[in-house]
Amino acid sequence: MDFTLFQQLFVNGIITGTRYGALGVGFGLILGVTGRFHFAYSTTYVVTAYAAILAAEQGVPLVLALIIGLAVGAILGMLIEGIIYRPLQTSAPTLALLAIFISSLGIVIAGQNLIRLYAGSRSKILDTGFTVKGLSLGENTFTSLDVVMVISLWAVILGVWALIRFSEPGRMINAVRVNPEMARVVGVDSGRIYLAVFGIGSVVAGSVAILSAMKYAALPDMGQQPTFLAFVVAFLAGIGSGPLRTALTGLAVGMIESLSGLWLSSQWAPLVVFSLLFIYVAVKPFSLGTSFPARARRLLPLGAR
Amino acid sequence: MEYQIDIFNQMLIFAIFALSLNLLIGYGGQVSVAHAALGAAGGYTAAYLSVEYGVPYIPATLFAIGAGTLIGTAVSVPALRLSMDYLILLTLSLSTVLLTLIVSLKYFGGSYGLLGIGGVSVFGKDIVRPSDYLKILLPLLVVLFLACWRLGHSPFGRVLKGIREDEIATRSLGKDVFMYKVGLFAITSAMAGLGGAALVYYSQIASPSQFSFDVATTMIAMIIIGGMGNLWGSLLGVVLVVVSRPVLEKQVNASPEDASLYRLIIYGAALVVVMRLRPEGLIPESASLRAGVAWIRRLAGRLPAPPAPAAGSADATPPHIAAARVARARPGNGLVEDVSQLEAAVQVTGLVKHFGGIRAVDGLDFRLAAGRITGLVGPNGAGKTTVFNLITGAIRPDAGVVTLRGNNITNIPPHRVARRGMVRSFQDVRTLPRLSVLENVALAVPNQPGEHLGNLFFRPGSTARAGREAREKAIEALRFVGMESRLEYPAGALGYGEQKLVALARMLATGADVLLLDEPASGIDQSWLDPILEVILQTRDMGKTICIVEHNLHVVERLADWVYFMEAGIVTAQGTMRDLISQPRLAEVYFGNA
Amino acid sequence: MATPDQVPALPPPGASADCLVVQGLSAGYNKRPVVFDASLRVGEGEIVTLVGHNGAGKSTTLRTICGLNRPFGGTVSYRGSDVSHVRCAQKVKLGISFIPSERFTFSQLSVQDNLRLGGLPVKDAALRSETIARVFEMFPVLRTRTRQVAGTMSGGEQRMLSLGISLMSRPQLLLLDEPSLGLAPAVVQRIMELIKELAERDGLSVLLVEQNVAQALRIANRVYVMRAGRVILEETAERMRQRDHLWDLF
Repeated sequence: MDFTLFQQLFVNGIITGTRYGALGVGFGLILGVTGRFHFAYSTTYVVTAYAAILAAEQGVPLVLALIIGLAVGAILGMLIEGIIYRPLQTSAPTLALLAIFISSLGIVIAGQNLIRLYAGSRSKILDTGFTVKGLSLGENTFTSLDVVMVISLWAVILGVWALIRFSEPGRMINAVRVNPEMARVVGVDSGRIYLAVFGIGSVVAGSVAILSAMKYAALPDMGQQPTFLAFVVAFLAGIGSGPLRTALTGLAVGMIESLSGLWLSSQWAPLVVFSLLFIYVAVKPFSLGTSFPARARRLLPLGAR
Repeated sequence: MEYQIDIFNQMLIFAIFALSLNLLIGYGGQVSVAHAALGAAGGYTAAYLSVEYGVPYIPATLFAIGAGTLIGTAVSVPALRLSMDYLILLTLSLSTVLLTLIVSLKYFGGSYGLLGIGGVSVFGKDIVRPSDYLKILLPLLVVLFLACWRLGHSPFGRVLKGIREDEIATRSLGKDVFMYKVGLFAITSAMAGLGGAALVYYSQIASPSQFSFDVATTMIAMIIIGGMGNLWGSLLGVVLVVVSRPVLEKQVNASPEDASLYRLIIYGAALVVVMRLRPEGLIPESASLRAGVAWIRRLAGRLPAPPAPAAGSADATPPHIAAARVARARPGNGLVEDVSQLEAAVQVTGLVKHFGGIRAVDGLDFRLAAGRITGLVGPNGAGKTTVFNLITGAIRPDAGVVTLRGNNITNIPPHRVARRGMVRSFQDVRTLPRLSVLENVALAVPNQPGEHLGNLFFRPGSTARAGREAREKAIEALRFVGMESRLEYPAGALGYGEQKLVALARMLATGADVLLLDEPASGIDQSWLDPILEVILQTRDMGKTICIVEHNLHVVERLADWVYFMEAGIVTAQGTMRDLISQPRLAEVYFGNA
Repeated sequence: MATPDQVPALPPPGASADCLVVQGLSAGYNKRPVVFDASLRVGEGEIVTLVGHNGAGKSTTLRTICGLNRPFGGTVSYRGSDVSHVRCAQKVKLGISFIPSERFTFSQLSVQDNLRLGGLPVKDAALRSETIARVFEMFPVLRTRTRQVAGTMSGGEQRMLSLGISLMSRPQLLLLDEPSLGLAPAVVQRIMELIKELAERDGLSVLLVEQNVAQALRIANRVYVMRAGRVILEETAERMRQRDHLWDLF
């Protein structure tokens, strides 16, 4: 084995794995607390990046532009929940899971093409605000932007963890996740918690989007791959897992993907992630009978047995 | 003219995908985002074979179908064992991965795609112009449409819809739900592979943009806008979506590039709006050609509107049986019978089930006397419903033996237990809400040739005959429970009491002779109690063996010929309900001790 | 302690002494009614028990009173005002606290977090710490276990925690759904005594759904019996205790 290559891939694994972990944390929070199959995670992701870029293009200072981007993404996430998902849940609870997924597909395709229409199909780069320098550690190379990315994404992940662990809103989010009915009983307004969770999840996704727009570029369909990864990481970590576990799962996925480069050429990387997911699904024990209607029925209060 | 034909041909190709997706999502209730990607698998297979090896049109298409089927089935099998989330997750991932690989692998020409696909020639005739293609695409689509129609409107399709509505209920009626789902996924993947090959040959290029996420969503938009569960709806959806492009380009005067963006924005918005305001789509599942014609004629003012069927409600009057006698002699001339002298239809010995550390069932022994009603009572949490799950195979016991008419049925899956002659009902009825009452019951008739694809297409005569017989059996069962006036109502529109009777008719239609009733009297209004109890007694008088779990002890007393008293997972007493009531110890268990 | 003799004859419904008055309530799930035309009332400081066979609609009645289910018809009044359509999250602020029969704690969270969540409706920090001190005084076992994850405690301790969660909101009316479920007889007795103590010492009104009729009757003033979705009997607990057999009510 080529040890230098291994080291380089290991460093790359930390960088990509951190990104995957953050993506998983945002989506996993939404899925774990609300149970919504929020495919439009992709839309809030793209919109955050573009909002920041457009603000920066207007001459808004970078920090402010980033805040604007994150805020726009968060508000969009909350609007999607409040205006689109929730009415579907109320009007036809038994079909809501299918309806929500189909609607989110609609949001993604409409959002993506609205961006193409207004911002053009060509890639846009978000200026970093500092000179990106190449760094090296031994024989491994990476950039100062990579360092900023890893540090800031772990800061976001730990921030979400601390928020949920130590603050009162965090406790309420946990309450809704663990036992939605008891949460209502003690007076938690689960509607507001859902909105908050969509907001937080969108901010986490948006942070990744902004850093990706700095490192690579922003494209109208830049959200698809990250959403796929977010789904995979959130499911592999287990629905309802906490942020730390999800982030570490993401790190592991990124590491495995990167290290597979020892044997495979990098174009097969997506297949590696898919195989992990496939194996995970294949070894899950048989449990038939949770088609959408049946599951929705289970979610409804059915009284004392 | 060639321009219009070109548009029409595009519709025909998209219609292949739309029919396939509608069968899968609309009929079977299984969501897949991967069918466009499976089309890519097919299309690229055909293109690659043609470009690299000069494989001719028809064999290349067959390989394309094979590739779609293989990949689709292989990926869906693990996911179909689990809940819907995993199917969405896995098809979405498959789609992302296939599309990424197509672009990144050098064999497939990257984002430009594969060019130089061989010409199409059929029966020695070269096909070049759109009007030539029309001659093969149109017959192909007609044949596919008819085949899908046959599939969707057969006993096979009825099972698919049953799965869509409620997998567990469908399985409890003796249908092998998992195999049906895999079969459906394989058929629709094959159609996607075919569609991919058709698209690639028609456009003479295989490129990633033909099968992109935009295209996948467009396909889903077609069936959602048109109407899920109705094949006409899919055709309408295809027409609307395909026609919107030239219309936008010409009428709105947009550049082709912008027009395609507008289109996709419109489709996306349409998905959201339709889901919110008209989830059944433009042509709902219940609509038929005849109803459509009638509707158009009504629009023209020639026909009066038909009276809308009054939706059933809890207030609907109970059927005629209400008037029948309710007090009746017990079997054995009114004397207390010793049921242990009767033959046992079901014998349960030493049944054990632990959940974690909790002993739900802990060495249970009981027997169901043939032709009698046996009650299972006990305090909350005694494990009664778990017993039903265990003996029908829905849960595997840790130990113990269950025999049905002397045959060991322990560890046999639920659908096979049902076919051997023991079926169960559910506390929350689990009728299939969007199917008609008749379909609910006809679904339960066992051994229907029309549930097998071979018979559907190659033995239409005997299949049709068997279909009529199944219908007769279903009507007979519904007549028995007094619900024959409700045949065409969707089961979900009925009142709860009526649904309980439909569920009972459904069990009778399976022909099983052991019926396990889980709380037959719970949740129904007093006025429905007598009719339901009467039907249960009449069912026993037909010679069926019945076991009831019921908390309303008055109901148990009226129905049960013999009662087992369960506490903490074992039987602690048995006898008639009167015997049991007279034992002070049991009262203490049931009501607590002071 | 008020002996049954001192309990006056049933006051007329709607009297000012009533904490809760339910009239003609019908309720259920998914448009399917489970409870039909149920009427009952709970006086201030009174313990009323609602018994009946499983599936008779007791839990549904309780869930509708606390706002988890919407009533199909009828009214729920609390201290003279109509709260039929007030949401659950609001009702707890008015002093109506419900404890479900199952999953009655946040089992993956610590005891401390459970109690803090229970105290959400109380905004005043001083009042909160005063309340938590009282809860610890009443259930000393909770004080020593603040860090423990609720789901790892014994069944009886979890029941006590559920009462603690409820008390943290400083309720006036307690709606209890089968607090004896799955507990050993001695523990059931202890829980019942605690409920009685709450009613007597703090003047809490209690509506208690119970399967363990004998235990419930020991602490209740009055009893309602439900069967197949209807209230079929209203009786003083004293007279109910004197009945020879209960089977015909179930």
